[in-house]
Amino acid sequence: MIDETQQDQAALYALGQLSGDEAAAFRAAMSRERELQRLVDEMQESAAAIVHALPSVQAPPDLLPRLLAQLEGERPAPRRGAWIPWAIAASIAVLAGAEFMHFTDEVARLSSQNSELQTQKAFAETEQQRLLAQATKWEAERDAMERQLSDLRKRDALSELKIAALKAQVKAYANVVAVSVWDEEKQQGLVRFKNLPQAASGKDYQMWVIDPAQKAPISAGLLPAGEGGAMNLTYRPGQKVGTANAFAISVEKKGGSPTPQGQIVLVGEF
Amino acid sequence: MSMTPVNDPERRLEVELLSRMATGDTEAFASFYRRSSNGLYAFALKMMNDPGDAEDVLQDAYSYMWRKAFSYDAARSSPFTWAVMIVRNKAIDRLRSRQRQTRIVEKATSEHLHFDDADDVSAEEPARRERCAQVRAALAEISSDQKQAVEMAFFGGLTHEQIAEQLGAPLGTVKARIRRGLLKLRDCLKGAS
Repeated sequence: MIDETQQDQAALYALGQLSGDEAAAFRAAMSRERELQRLVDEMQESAAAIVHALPSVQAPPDLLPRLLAQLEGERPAPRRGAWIPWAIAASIAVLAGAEFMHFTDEVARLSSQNSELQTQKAFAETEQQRLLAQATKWEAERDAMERQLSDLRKRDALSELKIAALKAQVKAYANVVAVSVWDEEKQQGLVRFKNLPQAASGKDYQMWVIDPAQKAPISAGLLPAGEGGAMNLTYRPGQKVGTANAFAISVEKKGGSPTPQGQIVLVGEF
Repeated sequence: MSMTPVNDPERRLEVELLSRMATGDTEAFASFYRRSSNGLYAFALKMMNDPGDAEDVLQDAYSYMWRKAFSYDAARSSPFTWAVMIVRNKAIDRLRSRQRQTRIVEKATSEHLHFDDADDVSAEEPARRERCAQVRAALAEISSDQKQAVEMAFFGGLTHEQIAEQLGAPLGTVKARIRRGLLKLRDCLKGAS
């Protein structure tokens, strides 16, 4: 149940009104409560809808060509067969003469549409096959990891351990397979990753243990610089953890932060 | 696109366009731009109050969308909301860097949304007209003080402290107005969709 204070915070967070520390604390709260995250999403959706009430204004006509020229330079994208519609349109225009201009325009438009759809279809089919193969592989890996988890839970020696399967909070981390194990008695944990992207330049991944008795998540240290892909790592939080109920990874500035400032990318509940 | 269901055909198409943009498809980018640019330009203009600045904001925002299309999460928001929030962040950055907020504050406190269709370039589009009517009807359900607080925060990029100071109202009152305004708007839009 979300109380009024949390609703106030959600509204302010949705409009970017919270300060750095407040926003970090609220993000940690959202990572624990899906309902809170949903409320923020709905509030942002409602605020953004106000834009529909504004009279629409024609954007500067030369902006799109400028952007396209800029984007092509930034990241060239293949455009297979893009010349075909123009060649067809040009040929038809020459043959048909000026009185059929509107007709040729229509033909060119339809040809262009057809060509674009063919290109999209071919691309989508290739992409679909690639993604299906990848998904099958990851599902198998996830199944194997879940079986391992199930086995671990059954073993008496490990019955006191808490285990969390981490879930991606942003799309870029959807392929990460990660599990964290927490030993309350020893105050240390083990985390295992697969497919973790390299941290961006000037950034570090930082681990957090979430204890509801504490105001802010407790830092469990940084992932070693330059690490990515697959790894196993033991972590030990900087202060005593009473009851750990979640484990999270955020992207922080180089060297880390005392409390989460950056985006939380992976979270799992113990 | 306001509070549209996930399986709404318009929304699905835009999600697909963003997904293609993430793979470097400039045709998808152009399609997404053509669908969204007039509404987003109107929004940028409302925030910046200057056509040149609004154009710069739009350019920055679409460049960002191109680079960050992979980060869009369809489970959390509609593509339009994602784009609106990017434009808003770019506009706030520019407002703050140029320290022109005073002018915006004065403007935001002195006027509410204009619902004049005279310059609406897409008044002929039935889908947009319908969405526009839904949102305006929802806004009409919100009390004027709640609407004013939400607009000052959303369009002016003002903090709740700044809004409280401008309106001469207690901080708690401003927070409550923003909260109640957004919740009421959400409920009205859910009812309309």
